[in-house]
Amino acid sequence: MTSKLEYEFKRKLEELEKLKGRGTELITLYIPPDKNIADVASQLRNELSQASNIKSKQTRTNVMAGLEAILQRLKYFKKPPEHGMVIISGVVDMNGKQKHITEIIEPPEPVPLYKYHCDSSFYLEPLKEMLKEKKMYGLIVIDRREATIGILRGKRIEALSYTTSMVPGKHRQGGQSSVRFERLREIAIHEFYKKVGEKATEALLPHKDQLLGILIGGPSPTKEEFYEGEYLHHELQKKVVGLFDVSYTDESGLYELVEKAEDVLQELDLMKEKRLMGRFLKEVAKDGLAAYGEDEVRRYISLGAVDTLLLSEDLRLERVKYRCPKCGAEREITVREGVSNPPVCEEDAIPMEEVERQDIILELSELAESMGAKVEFLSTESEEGAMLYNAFGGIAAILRFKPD
Amino acid sequence: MAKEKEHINVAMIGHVDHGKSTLIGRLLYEAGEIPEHIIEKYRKEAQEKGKATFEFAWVMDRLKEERERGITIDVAHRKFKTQKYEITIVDCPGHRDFIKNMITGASQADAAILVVAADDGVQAQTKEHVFLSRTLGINQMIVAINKMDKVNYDQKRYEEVKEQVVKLLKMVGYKVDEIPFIPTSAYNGDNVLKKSDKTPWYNGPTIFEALDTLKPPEKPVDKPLRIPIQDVYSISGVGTVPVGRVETGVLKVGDKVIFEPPGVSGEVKSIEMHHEPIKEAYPGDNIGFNVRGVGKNDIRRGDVCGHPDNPPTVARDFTAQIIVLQHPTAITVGYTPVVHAHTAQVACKFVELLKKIDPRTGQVKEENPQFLKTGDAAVVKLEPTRPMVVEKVKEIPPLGRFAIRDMGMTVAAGMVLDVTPRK
Ligand SMILES: Nc1nc2c(ncn2[C@@H]2O[C@H](COP(=O)(O)OP(=O)(O)OP(=O)(O)O)[C@@H](O)[C@H]2O)c(=O)[nH]1
Ligand SMILES: [Mg+2]
Repeated sequence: MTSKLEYEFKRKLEELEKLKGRGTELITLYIPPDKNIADVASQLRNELSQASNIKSKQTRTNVMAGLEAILQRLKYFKKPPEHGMVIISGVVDMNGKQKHITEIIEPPEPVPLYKYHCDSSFYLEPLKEMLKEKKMYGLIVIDRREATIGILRGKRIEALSYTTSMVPGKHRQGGQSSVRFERLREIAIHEFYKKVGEKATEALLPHKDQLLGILIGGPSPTKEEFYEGEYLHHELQKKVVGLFDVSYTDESGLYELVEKAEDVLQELDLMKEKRLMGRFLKEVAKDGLAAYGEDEVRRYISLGAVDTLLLSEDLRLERVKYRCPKCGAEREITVREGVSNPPVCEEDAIPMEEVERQDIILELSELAESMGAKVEFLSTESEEGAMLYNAFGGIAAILRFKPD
Repeated sequence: MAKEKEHINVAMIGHVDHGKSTLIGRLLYEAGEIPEHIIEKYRKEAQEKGKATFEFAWVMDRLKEERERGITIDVAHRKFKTQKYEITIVDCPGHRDFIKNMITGASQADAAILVVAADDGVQAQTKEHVFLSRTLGINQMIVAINKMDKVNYDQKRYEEVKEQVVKLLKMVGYKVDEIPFIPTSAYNGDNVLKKSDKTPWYNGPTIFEALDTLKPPEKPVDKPLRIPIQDVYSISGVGTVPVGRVETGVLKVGDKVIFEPPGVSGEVKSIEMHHEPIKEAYPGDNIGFNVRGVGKNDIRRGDVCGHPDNPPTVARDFTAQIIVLQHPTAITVGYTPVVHAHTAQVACKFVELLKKIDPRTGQVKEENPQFLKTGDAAVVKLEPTRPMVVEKVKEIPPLGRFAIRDMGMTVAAGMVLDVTPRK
């Protein structure tokens, strides 16, 4: 789940990433929150005097223009904003035309470094890093037969390693006594737990600093034995936050484990998506307080009937307002991103002109908020988020009441 | 020498603690398969370990952790003879965490004995096991209303519980008139082998007698060979030994075989059934067979063995008719629960909901529905998240039926109408 701000930030980065300069003339400046603005300005002036030596005339002109634009903007700041800022400036290709842009980005997290960067594209890596989910849980599911190790990062569950055991089952091979069979079995179980412990070290130890916890799932008594026997590396062992009854121990066991551990994981985005979609689907199934599809949802929003609006982050649709140049009649339609599809005015039989264009996610969420509805953004990374997008067109709502 | 008796596999199913293992132990004991002194020994040991009354269950519950907890964890097999048949009884776990083992056990069975405790009545896994048995193609059933001693052999209570079970069985399409319902006490031995004098109001068969009323399974020997693998052993001096039940076709020593999905092949060196070597194996036989050219780590539970000229079909996706048994919310495109087919369990994604149908008439109710909910029957397309063998139910029924599980319960059952093979 992302907030609206985060969504806008993500879209902004996607946009900036597409922009290219002719030469190495696009400037990106990272200013951390504790940086002295005067120092930054003096370094930029320094860069400016050096830039006058650049050979290519075009690059020289553009870099200098960029630096000047940034210096200009810096004047408005006594000190950097709360999280610091990133300023980009340069001449970019836009639909074949050259255009000078300058923008200040205030990211959702503190800018981690001071950096002046000049290249043919903007330097966005540290910003993209901020979007990556850092909350992580280690997952282990284990029974006597097999074990799977994985991680839960943000909305994704990822299997990292799968192991099978050599523990003999109940099809005892004839011959040995029951005491001997039991002993051989104990040894094989111990060996298997050790192996799983090693695999867990390999898979999870490198992430130990990001791990909020480790969850162990499986039928009893296997998971208890594995945990109490301290087969995990001590750094991992102390991160174990719970043992859960889970019946599958292959990759699907990881999913089952996450569902069973719902209470521990509550604050995670994934759980929020699961809960929301669960609520929505429950209403859908009983033909109750649910709606989906743009037209229907839009209508319910306007009637004030929407409690929570659910939007897929990956919609890539735009709401465009057209106006007839002659009679001034207006119409709004939804189109794919970047597509132009002017309707014909019914009065005057001439194509209407585009007057306004907005990302539908922002447009709908503003509309919904103005009607007192909550708005939730769902990624398509989780199974639930993908369902919203694929099965319900990415636009759905849980209703307060169902108007006739 | 007497003609060899026909062979039937019977699964013991039902809710946790309702007395499945005890009933088998009692049955074997009375049939003379277990000597008195063994039961006596178990009785003492169980008592010492604070598990009194589990002596009969211990016959089947041999693993240490099973005895400590007093529950069955993995399936176990035992062979015994009735008047008419040689029976392999498969003890299934009732605890919900071990349903996947129960499914493996039941997938090998021709018939089932459903155990329902008279004091508890129908419980969650009573229902789930009945759903699953139906899905797995078990058409014959015997019902034991057990622990009659706990309700003073009361006929009224028996009838009440019987009524609950009848309702459940009817719901999934069992013909209840053909099913024997037997009041038993597995622990005391009432109506297990001998008729009990504590239930004068009952004059039907005992469990032992009811087994002889079962019909022997058909043997589809003319179909292509399919053996879903249940386990793989590596035995020193012998080599790799996959274990499973022949569902269709015939396997002979010397045959070239292929295992799918891994696609590895080898040659059958020997076949063993109940620790005795045999030359050929037929549908219904539970066998271990030694294959040269295949390593223990090349194959695993869920793979299927066949002949190279007609190998098992690995599905890229498959179209199936499903019925949603119970789902707390709704099923839509993108939903990815676990599918159990034969011995395989693979997460499969719903990629298309093609049509909703009326389960009674088979008529299309809605094309491309947006979602499915409890009670809906539908034709859908599923995509396994890793390679998996399934077959059209028309061609090889045992490999064309499946159950869908999620959130610790069976949410739907289905059969495969069509398969898009990989590659
Ligand atoms: N009074 C009474 N107790 C019984 C009877 N049958 C079984 N029990 C008791 O019920 C308990 C469970 O029996 P099990 O045979 O282990 O039950 P189960 O169905 O195999 O259980 P799981 O395999 O764990 O699902 C034991 O204490 C048995 O002695 C019966 O007929 N009467
Ligand atoms: Mg048992």
